[in-house]
Amino acid sequence: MEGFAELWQVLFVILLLVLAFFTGRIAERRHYKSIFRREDVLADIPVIVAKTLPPANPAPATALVRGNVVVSVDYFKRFLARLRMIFGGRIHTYESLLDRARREAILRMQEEARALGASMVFNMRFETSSISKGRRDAVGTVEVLAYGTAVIPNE
Amino acid sequence: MKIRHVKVPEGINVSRHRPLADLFVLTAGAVALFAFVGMVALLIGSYAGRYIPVSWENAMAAAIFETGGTAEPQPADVTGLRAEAALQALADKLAANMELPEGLRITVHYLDDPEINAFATLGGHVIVLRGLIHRMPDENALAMVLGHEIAHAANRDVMANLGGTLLLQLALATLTGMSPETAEGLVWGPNALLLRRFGRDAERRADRDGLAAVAATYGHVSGADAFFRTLLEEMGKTVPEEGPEFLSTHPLTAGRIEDLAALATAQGWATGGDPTPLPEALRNLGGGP
Repeated sequence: MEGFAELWQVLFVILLLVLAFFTGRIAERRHYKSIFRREDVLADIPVIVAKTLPPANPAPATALVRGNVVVSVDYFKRFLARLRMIFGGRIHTYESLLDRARREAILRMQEEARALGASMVFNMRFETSSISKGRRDAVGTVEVLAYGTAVIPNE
Repeated sequence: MKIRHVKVPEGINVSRHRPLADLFVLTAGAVALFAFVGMVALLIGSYAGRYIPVSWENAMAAAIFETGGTAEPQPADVTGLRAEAALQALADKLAANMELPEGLRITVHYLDDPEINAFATLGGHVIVLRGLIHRMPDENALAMVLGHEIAHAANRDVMANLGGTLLLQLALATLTGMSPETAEGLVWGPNALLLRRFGRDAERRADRDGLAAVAATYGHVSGADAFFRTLLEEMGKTVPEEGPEFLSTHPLTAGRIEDLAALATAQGWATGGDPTPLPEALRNLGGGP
């Protein structure tokens, strides 16, 4: 029967959707849990976007710190986003993707700053790029780089 | 300068939503949109297809049938060639009693295949399979099938189908962003319900025109429904029941026999008459593989 090929394709998509719905949900919950925990732990290294620091004597040591992250949405969320693109409106499923990516990038940057013994990070900036851009039917994958200048107080 | 740590507030950048409810609403909306656009594309394409000049249709058919394309059925041997000539003669006889658009010529091809089938395609090319000829008790029965297929070509059903299908394919490819090849698979796929439903009215009309041609050619319509009776018999052997009418291109067979009988009565065509035997070249062709 020639109709079976199409039927299998549809079943395969449904199976992927169901699978991705649960795995994506679990992955996102776990990630947020980790983000909340680490944000509390690293709260003692504030991150600001001011370009300059007030003059201090002696001048503290500074260093470039950065945190880079690549994260992707699951098949279910991408499917929902594509449907949403037909009618327009907020793509809720991509909001959490970008939120998670940016916060994770900052956390990784803070972790590097802590390893250097820094007290804070100033002039923090983001670079965001879509890795899947231009590729048809690619999973929505973003790369976020957070970088700034760590302030290391003199002993 | 005092620097304060602020805990990231939740619920601002990521809004709460219900993904499953979203999925169902959006899917229903998309299905409705696709169905509507697809239906409109199909209707416009089918309508426009009938107005494509016959000369263009012939040119398209020539590209398929005369450049050695695989679509051209080749009679295997002398028997096949003679059968094809006999079929062509019968088609010419019927076509003389039918209204064909200017420039459209019916060309019949004989295909050495045991399947019980016949079909019309682009440029007035009609293909008749050996299995069908084998099942025909007399020329009148075969004439009805041929008349039906010629009517499809004459009514521009083939072009309407092509126009509708191509536009539907284009609409689907545009809407979904899928490749035209994928859209082609969907449209020509066996599940294209829209096309099937559309085909039924054309089938009824072809039945009527075919029967009218038989009546005009032989003076009576006796034996014209033999093909449908054969189909009924075949179905009785293979599948217990026919599917629902909505799913089939061809109106349910029993219904067609009744329709034809009613039409003959309404038109006052004689239902009794001596059947014309099949031409020598079309006898004993065999129904096996």
